[in-house]
Amino acid sequence: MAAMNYVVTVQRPTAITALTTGHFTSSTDFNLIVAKNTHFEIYVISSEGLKLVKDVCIYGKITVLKCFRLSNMNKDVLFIFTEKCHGMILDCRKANHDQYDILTKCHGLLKDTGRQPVRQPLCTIDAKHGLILLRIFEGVIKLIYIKELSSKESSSKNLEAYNVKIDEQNIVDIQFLPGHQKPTFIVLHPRTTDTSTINRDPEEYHIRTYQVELKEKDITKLTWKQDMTLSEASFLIPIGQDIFSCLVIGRNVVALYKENDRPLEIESSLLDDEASIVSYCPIDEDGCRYLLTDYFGKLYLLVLERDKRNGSSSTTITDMKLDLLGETSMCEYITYLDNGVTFIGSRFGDSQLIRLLPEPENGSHLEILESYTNLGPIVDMCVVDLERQGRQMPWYVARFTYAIDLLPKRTRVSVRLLNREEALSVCVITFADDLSTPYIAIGTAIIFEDEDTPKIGRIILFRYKNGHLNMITEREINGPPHAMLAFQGKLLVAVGSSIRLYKFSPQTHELTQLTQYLGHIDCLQVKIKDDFVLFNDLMKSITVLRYNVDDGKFEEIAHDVSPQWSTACEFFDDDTFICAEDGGNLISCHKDSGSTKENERNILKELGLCHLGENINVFRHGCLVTQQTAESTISIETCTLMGGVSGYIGLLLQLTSTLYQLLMSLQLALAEYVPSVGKIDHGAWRSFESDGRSDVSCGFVDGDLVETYLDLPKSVQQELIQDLRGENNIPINTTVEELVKIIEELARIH
Amino acid sequence: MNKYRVPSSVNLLRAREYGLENSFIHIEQTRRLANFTLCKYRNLTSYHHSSISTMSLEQSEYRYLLSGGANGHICCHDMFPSNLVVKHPIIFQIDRNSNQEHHTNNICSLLWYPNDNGLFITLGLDKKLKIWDTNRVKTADEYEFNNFAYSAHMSSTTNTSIIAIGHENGDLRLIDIRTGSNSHIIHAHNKKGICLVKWFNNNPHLLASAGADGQVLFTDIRSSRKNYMALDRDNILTDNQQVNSRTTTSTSSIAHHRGVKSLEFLPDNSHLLTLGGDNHMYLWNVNNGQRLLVNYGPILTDNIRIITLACAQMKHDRTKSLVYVPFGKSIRIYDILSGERLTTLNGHLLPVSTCIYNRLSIELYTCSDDILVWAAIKKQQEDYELSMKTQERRYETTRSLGQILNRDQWSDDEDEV
Repeated sequence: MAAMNYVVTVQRPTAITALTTGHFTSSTDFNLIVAKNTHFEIYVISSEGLKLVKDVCIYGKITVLKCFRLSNMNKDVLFIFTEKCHGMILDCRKANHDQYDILTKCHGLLKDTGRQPVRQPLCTIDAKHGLILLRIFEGVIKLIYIKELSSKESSSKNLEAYNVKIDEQNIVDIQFLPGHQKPTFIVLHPRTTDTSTINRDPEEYHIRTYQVELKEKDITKLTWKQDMTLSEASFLIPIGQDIFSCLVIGRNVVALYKENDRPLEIESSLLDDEASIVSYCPIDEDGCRYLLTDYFGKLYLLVLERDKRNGSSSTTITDMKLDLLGETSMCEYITYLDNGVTFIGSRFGDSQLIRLLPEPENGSHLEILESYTNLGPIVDMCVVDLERQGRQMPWYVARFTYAIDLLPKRTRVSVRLLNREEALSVCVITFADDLSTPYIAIGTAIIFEDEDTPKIGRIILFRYKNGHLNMITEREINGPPHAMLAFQGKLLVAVGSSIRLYKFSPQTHELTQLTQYLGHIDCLQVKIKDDFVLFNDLMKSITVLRYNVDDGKFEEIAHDVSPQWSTACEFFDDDTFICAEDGGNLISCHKDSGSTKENERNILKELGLCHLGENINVFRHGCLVTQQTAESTISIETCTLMGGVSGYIGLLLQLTSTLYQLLMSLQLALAEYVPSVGKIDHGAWRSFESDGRSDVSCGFVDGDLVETYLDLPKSVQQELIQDLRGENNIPINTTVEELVKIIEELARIH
Repeated sequence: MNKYRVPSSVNLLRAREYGLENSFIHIEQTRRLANFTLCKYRNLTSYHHSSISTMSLEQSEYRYLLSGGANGHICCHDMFPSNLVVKHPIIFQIDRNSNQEHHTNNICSLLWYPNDNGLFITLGLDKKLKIWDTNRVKTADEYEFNNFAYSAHMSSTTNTSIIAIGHENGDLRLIDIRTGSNSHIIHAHNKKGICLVKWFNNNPHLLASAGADGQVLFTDIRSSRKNYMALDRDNILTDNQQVNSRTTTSTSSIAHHRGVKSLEFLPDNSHLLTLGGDNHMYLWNVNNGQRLLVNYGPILTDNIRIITLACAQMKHDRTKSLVYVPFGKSIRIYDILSGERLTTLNGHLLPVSTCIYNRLSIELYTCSDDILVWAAIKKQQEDYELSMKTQERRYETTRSLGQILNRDQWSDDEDEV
């Protein structure tokens, strides 16, 4: 028994997770660089619009992406930092025919042990002094020195990084103040002292300035500091050169602070009390105008008015104005490109290219030039067989409203729920006693924000006949119905920590509970296969049950004893189950049915572990092709699709033992041969990592890596298979032709 | 307490689905921490006949729990699976019936080797320290001392091999288990002896030791100085100017008026909790040795010589820190930074000596003469009790029919529940 899975990307992440602009591809090109979780796209900006010139995959989730230019260079380089704490500085060189090469200039693992902060890593760059500042762990600031990047040598150097202690906790933002003699930065944090950590006022913030002593590799406190009272202060924007001044943006206020000067605040009525400002970008180089966006997608223009009497040299800001420009997708990333054109990058909606209009048209100061589709977040998905096309398409749902479109054809019925009642699950079902009529069951719960878990809910049953939906019956339940399924002509519901089975009698119009199985904490998703029921728990991994038809009872077959914070689960086959975990890992669990010991039979073994870097919400059986050639070496029976928060769609497949060994040995050879951007080790990227546990990856062949074999020159393909070794170091003999045929076949199914 | 209130689980799950919540695990942990209830249907296969003096949970899988009794017996339980109804089996036991190498007197310290669970270390009042191979349950090494040792500890940072031991005469002994050297002795405390030793969480060179005279000393083992800091209860961190702070270098400074019974570093590496025989619990800043003005009220420590507290601190928010404190037959839960008492856990019939928090399974293990498990499963347990009741009732009504039907075909003596 072994885990032998193949995992490959069908659709790369589409949600935008970081943005930057700069002269990256050449000194004359102006680029927009867009990070989408595990890859980044480089666009060239021209008068015709955006042109995608390169898409680069990274062995990691990108959390920081910043273009910058050292004073001795004529073009920009790119700094990237990943979730597993790999840092890198990349350069781009244009080869012939619109080919671009990405070169790693510096790289390094910047991981420390320490207490992770609530927020994403913070990063700010002082290009003049060649200094990158990172805040990864609480109480520590990491200084990265970059001295020389222009050298022509192709080998990558190690990042030179030093840790410095900093007193401020829970730092909200860090920015370098430009134009100072020594690198100077400013820190925004909630105001606390050691004794008053307990009762801090949520609106009290503090800014403090520091200077970096480059030689001593240390920081010293400067005199300028400022207390402030702001609701949810979230951004710092340095203002001016060689002075101590900055803007602080809060939930519904923008304030300007300057050394030895009174603060200037605007509390515009335009700013929504409910919606915080989530991103900003400057428009001009001199920092007079800024674009701000809020949580609801409203776009604002902030103008700083300077004292004009003293001529252009004055930097004194006398007033600030805020105007509403219009609405865009809800975006956390915004960057101004040129000529009024702005890119709006969204995690939850489509990204947009907009033009700001000097005069309003239809009440809006902006025009949407182009939209870029984002599939994320994929919260549910089903595989639909399009007629006569012989191929299947994944349909995905990314919902923000909880209105349920109950049936796709013609009918559209809305159901009115009670106050505070929310629908959590739905299923279409035909009951064993009434096979001719389709019913729709909806599971709801009454949700109070101050209640840990809902204590009351309903299952509402509707009958669907002649385009009409009639409510037939309802049944009260004492917990949240996380999932519902039709199971052997009965209704299977995961209510809180239990799995319950209901039957419906068309005569009495009653839902009756037949049996229940009490699980652990919260049963989140339920899957069925024949008599078997699989469910995943909030924090107790997965459990397999069998429904014993004779007794009418569930019996526990096996479960995974490790405390895994699972998000989704699925059957692979009768003895193999797949589970996705909160930290972006996949686990394949195996049941040892043949074991003679009872306590081994009812424990699932975690034989496959792999870091996917994607938060999976849903697994669905199905494949994107249905026809297979007769001489096919792979079976697509176990094909499973998965959808994630970032819009990622992946495919899982079970391999035969010989094929697994062959591909795994090829993967090891490829991992050594294929250059990785940022010199991140493939094994380090795929290793299982969650809160409190890390483990090497096993049982999963990385299809994304293996399929790059097809693009290699023939001589390299030949070279790579010279010394393939399988289990117990036994040599594997194969030919390039055989391998190419197998991998092409695998590549064809997605 | 409001600090430990978090958003409704259903809303939180939905936020995670949409990628809006990165701290999902931490928030769910916070929800559970202060809501522990006795797991009535989880039993550990009973073993100890005398009171249990100490326990230790292994830190690689958070799965195997060692417990040592006053009679020198040791046993190891498998704490998986953490089901609602389960009996945890004994993996191995070390006593005079099962193992020749057993301890003959009270077990003072039990330590799992920090890097993997293939080794564990036991210290007994028989003046012996033993290093065990877990898989074979055989001693790999053994050290015998001339005088009593009350406490042993091993640093949890990686690649460490040094065990610190506190002796009755005030000596600190360092044993390097790689080389077997056991001769490094630091004369740290006075003749009243050392009750407890503990390494700093994040530094393999710094050691805290607590004496029977109430002194708590910090020692850098690389330095020739005896100690670099002595905690002083009068060295108080305060904004109030009237309370003058005292310097900490004087040797007369004491942390407690009587012997120290517990020494526990917080996971944030910058705070230390001490509990003394003077019935006070103090919170210290380990960087400057100042005592924080937090009042936990008197904490009864009679009957138990060495007490093990369990601290739980949320990784993403340091202000959410709890401590589980044995208090007579019960366990009290305090918010560390405010001193507020949150709840009290009752269930033991004899005084409790040790609390251990399992941060992966989010449950608490406590011992007196037995070991109990606590977790946030109130609702699940109620559901279980309800289902057992309804099942009983259903049996009463359906059994007769079932019996009639069955009896014709089977002899069903064993079928009945």
